[in-house]
Amino acid sequence: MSSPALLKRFLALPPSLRRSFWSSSARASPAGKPEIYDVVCVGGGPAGLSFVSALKSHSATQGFKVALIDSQDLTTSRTVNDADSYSNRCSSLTPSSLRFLKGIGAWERVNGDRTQAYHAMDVWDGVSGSKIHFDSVDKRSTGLLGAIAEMVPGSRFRASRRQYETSAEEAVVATMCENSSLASALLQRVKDFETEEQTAQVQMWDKTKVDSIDLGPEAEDEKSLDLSQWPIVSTQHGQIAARLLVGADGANSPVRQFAGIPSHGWDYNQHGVVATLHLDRTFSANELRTAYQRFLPTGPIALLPLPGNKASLVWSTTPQHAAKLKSLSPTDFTAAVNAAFRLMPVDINYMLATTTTTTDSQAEEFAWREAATPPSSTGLPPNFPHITGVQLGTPASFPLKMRHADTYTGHRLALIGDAAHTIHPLAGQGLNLGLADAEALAKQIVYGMEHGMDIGSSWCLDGYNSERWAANHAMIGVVDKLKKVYSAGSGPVVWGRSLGLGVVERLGPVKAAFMGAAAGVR
Amino acid sequence: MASLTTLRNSLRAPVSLHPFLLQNSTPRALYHSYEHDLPPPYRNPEAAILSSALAHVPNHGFTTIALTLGARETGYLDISSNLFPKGAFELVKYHLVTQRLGLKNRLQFPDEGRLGVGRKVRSLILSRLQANVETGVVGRWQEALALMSLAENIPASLRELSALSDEIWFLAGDVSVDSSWYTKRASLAAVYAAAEVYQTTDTSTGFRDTEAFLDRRLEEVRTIGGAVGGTVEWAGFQAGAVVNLMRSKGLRI
Repeated sequence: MSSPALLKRFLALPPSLRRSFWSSSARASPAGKPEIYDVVCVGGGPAGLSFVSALKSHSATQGFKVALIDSQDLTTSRTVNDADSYSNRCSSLTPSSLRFLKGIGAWERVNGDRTQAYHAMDVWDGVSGSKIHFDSVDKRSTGLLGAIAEMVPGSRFRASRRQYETSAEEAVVATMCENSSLASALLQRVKDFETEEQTAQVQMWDKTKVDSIDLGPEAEDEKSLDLSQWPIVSTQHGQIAARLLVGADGANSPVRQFAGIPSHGWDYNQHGVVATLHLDRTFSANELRTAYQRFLPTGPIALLPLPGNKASLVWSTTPQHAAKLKSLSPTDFTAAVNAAFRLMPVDINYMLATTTTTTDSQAEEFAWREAATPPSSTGLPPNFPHITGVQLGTPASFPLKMRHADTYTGHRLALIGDAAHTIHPLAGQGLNLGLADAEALAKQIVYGMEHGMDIGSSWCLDGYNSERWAANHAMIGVVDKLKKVYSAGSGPVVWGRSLGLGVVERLGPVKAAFMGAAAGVR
Repeated sequence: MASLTTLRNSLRAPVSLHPFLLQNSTPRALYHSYEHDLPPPYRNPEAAILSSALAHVPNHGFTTIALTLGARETGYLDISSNLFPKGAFELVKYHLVTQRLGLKNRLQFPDEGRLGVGRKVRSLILSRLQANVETGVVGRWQEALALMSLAENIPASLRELSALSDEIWFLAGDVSVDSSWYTKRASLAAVYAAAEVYQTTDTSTGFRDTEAFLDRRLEEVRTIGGAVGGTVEWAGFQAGAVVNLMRSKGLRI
């Protein structure tokens, strides 16, 4: 064919084909359209994993296409089954958290030998010695007559009102569980969903860092897919678009930064020291256990029971004390912890401020002081155990702060767990609030699915914000006030708080209300 | 108004006489300059009389007798104490002014800056209190306090106290430019005044008790400062939280 004829035929073609003949760039399709997922969860901690499990356990949402991204290695089991060693990161799970975990089928996969339920709690003031004792008898609200009866100990009226039968579950205040145990149980549960029918597999990308989160590109024309309002997560595995992006990625959440949600609060200028301790006697599995917490002016110290003769320590104290504690030998560390429970605050501050570097100096300092400090003068509970040792390598510390995000939801975005709020560990509520968030968000998504909503729209997500923001704010506020009230070392604040604690100890209904709030009763 | 009329009169005089007539109305800047020293606070005759009168204060107290003796010693007539219309209070003010201006010469800090601002403030206050002791005035200082509390003298005394507080913060290296500038100077003025009063009753060796008193007051300022700061921070947080709470419940604000 002659070239003029060819040219004429070419010019007769429609413009799009003519263009594609001349330029190669117009011919190539846009580089890999992002794969669309229903829910993308960034963060594979307890909150993220439990959220994904909860979604998969409901029939309305079990067919969801879900992706889970975490920068840590999730697949290798990090729990050792050694009865003699426990991780230093343990959490206290409230009964409502347990109910949620049982509901999604994760609790049965937790190694029961490594969890410890405790049935009572002793809290006392390090400065004035005033104390309060929580146990299952207080949990049941007995009303005004009960409160009057409690005020007259030893009376027949009081004896006639006491009910002694309690079910085993009701008797539990909370359950201690290692964080790694819980995480691996949740992971196991998520993997088990793969074998169930009608349940789509969860795409799990661990050891994957999120490179960036952006909104999608503008649509090319009216007919093509418009992802300009959808979050696109870029990782080494490519780009994925999320109908709902859930941020469960910890206190410095990239998802929260992408959403532009500010998070207000302050640093506590305290460090939390954790360790696994050995006690003087071994408890069997069916014995009643008690958790202890003493409020010192530098911060509260808590001893939480673990199976056998183990216990978990959480001690919030000044950064200088935390550094000193981490530098001590095991014998000195044990002596310092014993001192923190048994001696006066003056002695404790002296022991931790001394710059002596001789080993066992703390143990000597503690030994003669303990003999000189009668337990009744400091309010020490009668059955408080002696701490005989610390598991090597477990003392560690982390800075404490309080943060609360302004809102938990955005367009196609939700925050749960530490990404939404950070709280002081003195009430052991941090993980429980995160699990409650996961439960509430899952419930809201199921509701949205059942009512035909777009799960990423604010119409669906506002319900989650409305349910959880106020409750979390109240808990954060109470814990912050407790921390501030118990920071005073002397003066009218000490008198006031001792009086308040004494009153609450005697008023059953008030104590029951506090216990119920702490247990997350809904 | 008087300066304007003198200015007008001096400008109506012959041009050659202008420098002579204007020398008393040299303009003084209202700011402090690092390049130019402030003119001395007292003119030479007054400064001479007051400094020699101060030497008599341990024996005669803050009275006009000390002023008269001081005038006599410097070679002026006894009646020269009329130069000081406020009498013995001028002697007190002279002591305060010279000690305040001399504070930078008494105590200097090395440039490394390892000392915190708090410790520098403490050292400066102690140095200023020590100056009271070294000039021998501390035994008679209660009279000075009484003079300073007279109604006609209160404004001048407060001005001197605030100037001293400002000087101490300046020498300690304070560079704040927000409202804490005012709160810091107010709290330091209160602490200094309390310590000075306490010093007049202190009988311990080397004024140890005054030092301990000062440490307790500074600790209180730190505690209250922390508490107030925390409360303000909390109030701001709560205000934002109320708005966020209402938004979470569906209110469009």
